[in-house]
Amino acid sequence: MELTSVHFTEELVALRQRIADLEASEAKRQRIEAELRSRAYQQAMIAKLGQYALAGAKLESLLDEITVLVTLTLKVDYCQILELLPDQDLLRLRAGSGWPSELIGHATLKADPNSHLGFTLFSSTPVIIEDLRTDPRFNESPQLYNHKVTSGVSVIIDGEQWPFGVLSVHTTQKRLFTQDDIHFLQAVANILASTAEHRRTQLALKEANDKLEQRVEERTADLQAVNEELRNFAYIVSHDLRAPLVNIKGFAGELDFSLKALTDTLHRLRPHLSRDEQTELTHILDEDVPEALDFINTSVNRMNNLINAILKLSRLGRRELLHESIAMNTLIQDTLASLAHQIEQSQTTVTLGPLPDVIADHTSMEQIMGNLLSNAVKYLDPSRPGQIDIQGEANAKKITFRITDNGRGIAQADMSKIFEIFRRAGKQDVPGEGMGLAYVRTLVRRHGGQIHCESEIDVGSTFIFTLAQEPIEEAPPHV
Amino acid sequence: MSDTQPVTILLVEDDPGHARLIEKNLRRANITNTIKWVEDGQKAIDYLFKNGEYANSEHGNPLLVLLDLNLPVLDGYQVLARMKNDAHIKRIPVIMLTTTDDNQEITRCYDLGCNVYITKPVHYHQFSDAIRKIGLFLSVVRIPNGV
Repeated sequence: MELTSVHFTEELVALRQRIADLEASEAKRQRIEAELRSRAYQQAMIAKLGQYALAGAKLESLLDEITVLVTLTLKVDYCQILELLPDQDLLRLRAGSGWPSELIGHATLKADPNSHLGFTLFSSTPVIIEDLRTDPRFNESPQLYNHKVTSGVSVIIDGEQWPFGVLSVHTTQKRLFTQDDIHFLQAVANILASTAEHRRTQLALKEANDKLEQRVEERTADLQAVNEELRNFAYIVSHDLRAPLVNIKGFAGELDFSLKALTDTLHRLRPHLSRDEQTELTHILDEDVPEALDFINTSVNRMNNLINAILKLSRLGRRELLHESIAMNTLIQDTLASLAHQIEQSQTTVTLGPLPDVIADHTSMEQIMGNLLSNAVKYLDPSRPGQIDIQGEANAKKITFRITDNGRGIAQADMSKIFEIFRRAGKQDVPGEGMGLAYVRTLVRRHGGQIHCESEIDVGSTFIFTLAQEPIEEAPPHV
Repeated sequence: MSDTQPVTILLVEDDPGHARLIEKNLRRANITNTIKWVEDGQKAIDYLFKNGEYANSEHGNPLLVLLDLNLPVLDGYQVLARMKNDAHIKRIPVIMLTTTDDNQEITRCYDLGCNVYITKPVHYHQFSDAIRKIGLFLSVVRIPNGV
């Protein structure tokens, strides 16, 4: 019985031991399972945050999301994201859970390396605190003690140029954070860092773009104002300059009338005058006065022509353009037909490449091509048969035309003045008012294009001009 | 034209030289009507509607208005618009005078109801022609009056 009892006792002890072992291993298994579950959960959270960040969520809502998720995942009392402000000496509470809401976005604390949060900014590894009150490394602001902060982990949210800030969690009860917890927090901080850096770059880029756009807009507005002013100026000048001319010309005519009447009267009186007086009278009436009137008239006519030219230029600048599809080959054929006589006389060969169609103002195109082609014909070198070549090509942005001749060419020194009003280059042996290329340039510019000339004296010239593919919508000019 | 015709021509022109040239050429075209010259748009309106300095005047409506476009105070367009808004005054023929042949200006004048538009040309003989055309026009508009 005793033996049995002993046996029983031993068996009982052994059994108990086995139960205890089983319980222990069960507890261990459960702990490992819990750890695994927790790790899996943390990894799922990381994945979720990563996706959220990648989906382009607003930084503000991403920060809020992070603090909530971290709080739930790590089962902590506080989670906060502190942003390092630009002057780098303050940390601002950008998002947080567990903190009074009025602190979020406002509360700041010094980025002091003696505080654990400030220290984190200089630490490449997570900063782990068991008990903030007793930790000899740090000297904290009493604020944190008021909130009963005891244990915590904080990690840096790094950035390309300077850190974005600090991510940290705290508990009011003493807690030992596991490696998994710390890795989790570090992973979240990394997601945050790359997102913040991305946002920072985007913002900088957008700011630069906005500034550039604003400057372009300002410049464009300035240019438009100047253009408008010039157009109106030309219009007003040509209007107002004409009024006195009407008087000069008109009263010169009146003088002429008077002179004729006077001449008739004096003619009857002539026999009563001395020979010298007669000679003098004849000289005055037949030469001096008509000569003076002639000079007045010639000058007025010249002035009138100049004013007309300015007026025409200002009208070309103000006229409303009607954009339509134009078959350039047809337009050029028509222009050449009107120059047929001169082309034949100068034994000129004209070659015409396939030209792209354009969307432009028809009258403008006629004037541009008319001027350029008639110039090409007008300024050929009479010592050799003329050759004129017209080519064109289009790309996505612009259409380019080239008109090449083997004419007399333009001297380099004259190149800059040929597009200016009243300026003519080279020998002045061909009639012209010196306005053709000024008109052409005005019209080309109104079509969003540019014109320039390449030339060699005695070899020939090429005029190259472009038109914008998209017709420019200009505000209709007003007078 | 006979001296018995009591009607006047209203000439609205701020440039005294132009006014004088117009008058001289009207005379040269044998137009003998009294020419009433005013130098701005407001005076033209005052004369036509018997306001201001013409409040107590007893003149009749002019036979014709020669109206410059660029005028001080009220410009030619404004005078024309005011005239064409009045049931009686609108019957008076208006000849617009200007220094340019700008199409927009011409169109605007005709839209407002002017009868003839004449550009003041610098070439003297053209100017005379233009004024002679007014003379021709005057003899035409005179007929319905039976004078």
